Amino acid sequence: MSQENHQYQRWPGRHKQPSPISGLMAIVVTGVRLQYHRRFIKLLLLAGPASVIGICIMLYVLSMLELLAGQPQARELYAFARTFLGVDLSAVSQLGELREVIWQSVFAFAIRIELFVVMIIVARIGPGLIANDIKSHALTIYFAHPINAKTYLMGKWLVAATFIASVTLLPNLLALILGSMVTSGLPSIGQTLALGLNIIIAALGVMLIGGMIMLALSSITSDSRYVTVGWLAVCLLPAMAQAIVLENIPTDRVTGWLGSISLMDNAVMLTEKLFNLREAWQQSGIPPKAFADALAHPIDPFYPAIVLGSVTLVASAFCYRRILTFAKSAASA
Amino acid sequence: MAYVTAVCALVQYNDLYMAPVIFTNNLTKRYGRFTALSGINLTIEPGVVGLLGPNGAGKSTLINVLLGQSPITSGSGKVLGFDVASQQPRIRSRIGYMPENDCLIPGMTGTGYVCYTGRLVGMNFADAMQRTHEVLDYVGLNEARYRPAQQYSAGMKQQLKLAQALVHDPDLLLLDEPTNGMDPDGRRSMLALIADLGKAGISVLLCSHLLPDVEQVCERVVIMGGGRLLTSGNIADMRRPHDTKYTVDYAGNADAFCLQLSQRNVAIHDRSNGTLRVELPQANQQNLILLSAQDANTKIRGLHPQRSTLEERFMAAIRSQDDRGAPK
Repeated sequence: MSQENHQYQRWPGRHKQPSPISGLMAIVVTGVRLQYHRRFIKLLLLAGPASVIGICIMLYVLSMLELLAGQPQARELYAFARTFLGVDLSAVSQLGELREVIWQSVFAFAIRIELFVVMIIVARIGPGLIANDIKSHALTIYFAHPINAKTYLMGKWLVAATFIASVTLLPNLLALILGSMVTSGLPSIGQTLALGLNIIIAALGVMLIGGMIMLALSSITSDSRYVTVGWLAVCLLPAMAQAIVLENIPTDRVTGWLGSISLMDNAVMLTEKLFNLREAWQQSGIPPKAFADALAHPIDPFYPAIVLGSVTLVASAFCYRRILTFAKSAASA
Repeated sequence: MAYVTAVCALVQYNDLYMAPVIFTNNLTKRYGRFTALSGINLTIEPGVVGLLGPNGAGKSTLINVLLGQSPITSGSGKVLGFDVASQQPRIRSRIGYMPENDCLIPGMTGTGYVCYTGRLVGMNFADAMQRTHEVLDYVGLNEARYRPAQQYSAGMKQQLKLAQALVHDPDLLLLDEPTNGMDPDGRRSMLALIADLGKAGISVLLCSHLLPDVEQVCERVVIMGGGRLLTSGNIADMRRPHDTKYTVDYAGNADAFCLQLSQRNVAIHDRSNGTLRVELPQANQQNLILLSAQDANTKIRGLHPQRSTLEERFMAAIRSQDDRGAPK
């Protein structure tokens, strides 16, 4: 320590009334900046632009298909649509009339792919969000400032939500805008806005569910490695169990709770419901066989909604309770 | 009109700077059946004050309560004029807290960390960054401020924690073991900083197990034990000369002198070459020493009343608390 001759200078600035918003913003901005400096995170975030490019290519191909419908040159384009969307569009005579449902299928498919990216990116950025603060006793610092448990939790959730949004919400909205520009777009502005709204709701759901489950896991332990393992277990084990159930039990009997084991599949099912895909394809007039592969296993959406809602609610309450406990004992931690 | 304004300003100044920085009235904190703080009546005036107590005395709980982190069970308290039960954000925005533990955020540099804590209080980025460099200069953290804080030595971490507590220019600093893990030079500098902060008008509550540190920088001291306030007062008063304990420098026959003293009921606590530490049966009986020396044919070269140390007062307070028994 070399300080010998300095004298303390009081700060001439004005002390503001403490506001939860300024503390919240500090937590979010600093949290995002700290995570963004990690090389692997930057790499993962490339999934966002990749998603935009992928969706735009798909929309462009589908618009080409509208022009070339029924012509021999369209054969490869039909194969492309069948591979990615699971729909046999050769069965459709007037593709232009089904443009809305096709676009919805494209974005539902994109969200399904993005869920895997979300799983990986949350596994990288999420475990340390609270666990590292517990390990380094940093919670003491937060709760010695005008930050309460709610502000802290909201701040940490927003950090996770920012990264989830950057691979779901932002690419999808950007793709919707660019897709509308590079093709002739949806027939009406109302349909475009409705699709945009559905994209926002689906992404908010993913942000809420993924973020809160991860924060709950992160608040359990001070070792972020266990949190990563826990997160992957929560995502993958129920999905594997669901796959085993679907494999071994007749499909028509896998309904209700039995069909709502997997959190990932539940999210996909609810997205389909939000985009109203099943009803839209059924009303399209094309044979059910042609679009059977495009849709997830049919389940009453009530069950997946209850499962995901309950898990999120329990995770939020658990996490808040943990943070509250830490906040009360911060000085003596 | 100008006269009235001036008087109002003076009244406000007095309220702010002369009112107790910490005031508690019968403050009690219970965890279930366990009473961590029992009826604490405390008034801490502005200045540098030491908070002493053995482990489990209730110091950390008191800090918890003062920061508004833990709700009080009964009684009331005010910090800087704000109620601890209902005005926690106001209190926390005007307090700087330096915890005992390392509380660094992984991945942050020293500069980033201090700036971040400034922003948590509500400072904008430009103010927080400018102030960060000011306080890092002040605590003596130079180029290292740009390195990840987790690579710092124990002493540098202490400097950084002090800087984060100062970044928003608090009116009250709560320092928990600020010299922990520091080398002698670092410890001396840290104590110099604390003394300087006191002179700059920042009130300091210094929790430490190192009594010499408290003795060196504090004007007053509060001693807690078993969740109770045992004693408080000015250190200068606590270190007043003893009425009955004296140090005697002499030349002559030591055995004869000690025998004479013993015959006059003067207790001898320490005997070294040419010096005795003695305790008189009652105050103002120094003549017993002089008479003993005369009878033993010994010359008195010096006779000084002993001063009680903070450690003695601390131990006496703890003993008295042990005699009364801790609250359950």
